[in-house]
Amino acid sequence: MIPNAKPYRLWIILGALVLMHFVVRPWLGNPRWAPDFLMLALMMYAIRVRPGRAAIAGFGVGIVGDALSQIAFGAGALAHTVVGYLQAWGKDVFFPDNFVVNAGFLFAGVWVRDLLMLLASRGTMGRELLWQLGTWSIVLAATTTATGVILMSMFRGWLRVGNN
Amino acid sequence: MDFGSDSYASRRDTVAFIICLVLAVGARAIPENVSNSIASAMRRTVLAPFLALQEQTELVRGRRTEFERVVAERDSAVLRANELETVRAENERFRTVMRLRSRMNIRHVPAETLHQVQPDESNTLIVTAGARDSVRQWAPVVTGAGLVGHVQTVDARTSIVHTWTHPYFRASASTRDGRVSGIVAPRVADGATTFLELREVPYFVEVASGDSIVTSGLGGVYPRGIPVGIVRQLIGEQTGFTKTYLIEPAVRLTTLSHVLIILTVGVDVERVFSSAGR
Repeated sequence: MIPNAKPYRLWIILGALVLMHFVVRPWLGNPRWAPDFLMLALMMYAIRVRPGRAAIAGFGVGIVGDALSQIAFGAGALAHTVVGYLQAWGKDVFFPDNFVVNAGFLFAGVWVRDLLMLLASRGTMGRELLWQLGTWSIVLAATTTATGVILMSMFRGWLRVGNN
Repeated sequence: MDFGSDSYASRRDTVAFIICLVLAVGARAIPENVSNSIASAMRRTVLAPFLALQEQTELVRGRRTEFERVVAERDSAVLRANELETVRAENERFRTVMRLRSRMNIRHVPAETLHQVQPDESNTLIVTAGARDSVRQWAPVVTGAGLVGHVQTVDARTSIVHTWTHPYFRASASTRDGRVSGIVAPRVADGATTFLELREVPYFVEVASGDSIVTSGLGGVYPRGIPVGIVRQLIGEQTGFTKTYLIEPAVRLTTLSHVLIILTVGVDVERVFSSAGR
């Protein structure tokens, strides 16, 4: 276990991301490509905690999304739980402080979350599913990753794994 | 809160993950009315502050869109108002020409002025009347306000007019009462011609500022009585010989849209112009 130096720094950033999701995101246009700040917060948290906590956080974020959209209640919780757990588990396998690895985690996390959500909700099938995963999910993953990279560049010291 | 870890997932992590997974699958499996109730309860409690925040954001966004729409509408209205002013001014000029035309008891032809392609060709105008309309070279060109120039080149349907700004423009002119006469020519200052000057005025004769200058009818090109401009000030003198006066032109060429071309030679049009302005 790595000792916590300044955990409040991460919480400030996570709080800011949650606020941005509700305040800034509506200004960024179509939700299909506007960066998913909640997902970003989850992944930044997941990469710094043990898999169990990440899974719980993922469940929380997912159920919040389900309560807001109410299209397939539980699908978001399922997807976010899996992604949160895998993110936290993955950091033990890869190098969590590497910039490129982090960006890859972010991109893959958003795309896998979309895949799991779409499959669990069973509302989108066939070519529509392929179109969604092949286009919109990639665009959303790209914008979210870009936002995450900018954030990590700006708060490199604060977000360094093991520094929180 | 423990951040960071140095080992793979422990049994506790796996248990937490499985519990969350089971809860999520359970949430997915429960009947719709139950899930709706849970979601509704969450929106009323935990998510209420976030939803209120989002609602405010949407409100601000909506107002901004509304504001942009209002600004766009205002800009369009201003644009339309400006166009209206231009149309009104053009209409007024056209009316002046028409009033002049109704009093013009001599042969003439109305014409529109065409936009010049070359921006530096301000000394000439193309008008939409030509040989088919009996237009001839040297025919005087006027508006309701006064003298524009004369026809220099005649084509079948169009003609080219030399305006009073042309360096070769000259007109024999006098005061309205005929007391003082001289030669009107363009005055070039700072590379631009925006005024005329009345040259060759006898030295011992005074012309008052504000006096009207009209064509005198001498020279055979311009009939007597076409307004040329208003005397502004004395600008030069050759002691014992002549004086030169600055004349503000009666016709500004920048707003010209319609003209009349006089076809009859050797007539007096003073009465026509003296009543056209009214």
